[in-house]
Amino acid sequence: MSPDESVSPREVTVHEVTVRYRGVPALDSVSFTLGSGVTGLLGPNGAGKTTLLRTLATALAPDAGRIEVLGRDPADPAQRTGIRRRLGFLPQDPGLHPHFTAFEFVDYVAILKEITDRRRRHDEVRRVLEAVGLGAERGKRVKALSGGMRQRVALAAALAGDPAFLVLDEPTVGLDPEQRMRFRELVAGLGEGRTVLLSTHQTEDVAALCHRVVVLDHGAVTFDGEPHALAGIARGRVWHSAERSPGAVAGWRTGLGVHRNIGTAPPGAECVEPTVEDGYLLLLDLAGRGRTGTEARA
Amino acid sequence: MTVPGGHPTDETLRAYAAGHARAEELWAIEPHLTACPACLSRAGTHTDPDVWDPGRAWQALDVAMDEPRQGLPERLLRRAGVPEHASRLVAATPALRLAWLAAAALTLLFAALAARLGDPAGDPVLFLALAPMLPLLGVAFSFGPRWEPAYEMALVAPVSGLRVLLVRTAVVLGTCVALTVPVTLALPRPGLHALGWLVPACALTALALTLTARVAPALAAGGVAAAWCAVLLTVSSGTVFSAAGQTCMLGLLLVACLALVPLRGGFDVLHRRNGDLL
Repeated sequence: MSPDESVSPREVTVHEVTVRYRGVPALDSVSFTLGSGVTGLLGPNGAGKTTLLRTLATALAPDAGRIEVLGRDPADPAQRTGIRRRLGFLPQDPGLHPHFTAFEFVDYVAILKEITDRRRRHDEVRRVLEAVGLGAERGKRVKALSGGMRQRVALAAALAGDPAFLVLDEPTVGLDPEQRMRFRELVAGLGEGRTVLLSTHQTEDVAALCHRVVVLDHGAVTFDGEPHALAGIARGRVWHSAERSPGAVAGWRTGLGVHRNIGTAPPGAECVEPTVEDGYLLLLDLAGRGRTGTEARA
Repeated sequence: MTVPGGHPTDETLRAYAAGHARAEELWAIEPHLTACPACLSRAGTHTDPDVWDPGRAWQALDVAMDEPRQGLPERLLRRAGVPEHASRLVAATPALRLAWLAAAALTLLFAALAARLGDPAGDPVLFLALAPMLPLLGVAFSFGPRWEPAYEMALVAPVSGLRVLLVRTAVVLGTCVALTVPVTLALPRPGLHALGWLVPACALTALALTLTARVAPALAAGGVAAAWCAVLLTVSSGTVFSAAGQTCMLGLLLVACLALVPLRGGFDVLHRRNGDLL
């Protein structure tokens, strides 16, 4: 790494970016800026999260708008290579070579990351496999590993080369609660001194890990702020009651036997502290109503 | 190293004491030393008592066991002087798997036998037509979202997709040539005429490689293979494999290689077509 690369900015700027498939915008004039730390990207299926992450990871070129990653423009081939030297990307479905061992796979990705010196590369592979808790499993073939372990192998590959910008597309999908907790611990540590963008469906992950959250819906940013601010959208609109409120945006029976209602208060309900999930669900509902032009009920 | 059965050589013991023994040597030496005081004593003479650290040998073993296994193509590349990191890139090439290579060799052999059983005086058209298509399939199965499991990770790596594809295609082409040349000996009329497939093979491979900048590798290779079949069906085989035909193929090879230069950026991003990513 050259000296100027080590002091380059950690900021990622997205300015009015549009990406279309068959003429339909998957991202529609999206703008935001990312800095150091873990930023969560929330959104329902089809919201454009994966398209946005692929675009930021320089895999997709936008149809319109401008992106700047770590002070470089990915539209320029030379600068794009510069970004890729400092990028770690964990795709939504990270395919691994099943006949490789965990070590061999990460080693292969490290070669693609231009770590050509064998000794240095192997040391780096051991370091990242240790970091994801797979030091003892590094000699096992990928096909013999569990889903959670494979996900960690892919994360180790993304971490090889100590990237300054880390893009993680739904890394906790398919993991059991214990594996998810370990993943959270790992990702929380990665946010120190790095810019990390974490796409997820899990609002608990956002609440536990992220200092900031961006919500994407139908290709547009509908929220950009701190997780507690997202939770705050539902302040005064989350209720516990004996019955589900018919007018609630969302409602479900909790393990304690009471119904949690978001939106209209049913008779005799108790107002409770909102979570990130409550705010997120309410936000999606409000955005949906905005799109269909109906009036908000609450 | 002369173990097991006998005793390790001084050279092996020196490497062991210095912590430089290879994995297979360590596996053989360690049990022997526990049972042979004489060799243990000899090992001691090769060590610096201030530096001697039995843990170092095990650490070396640990590191040695991480060494990626090398397949035959990779070993051959290393012997040919290709750097270790470049030869590792071919380890993940589906078209270099034994099953694929065996199928390619058998296909050629059957084509050669068909030529032998047919008209011995005629051109081995089937063989000459098939041989250039094998490396073409190699291109199709060398890189891309369908055949490279870690395609998205590889795509956004600083090593360009074109470089990976070039390395793999070159190795597949070289392997196919190495498979095909001996089979030409089974043709009724071996000799220079039987090598008429070589230039078309290079030209078709280069053309498919260039088209891969715009379409999926399988589509590019399939399109080129279809075009090659169409040419063979419409133009007489004598013309295709004549000196004029070979010159045309050489021209095609040059054009395809030159076209790669302005199109090279197409290997570095995902293609979008009809809403799907290729």
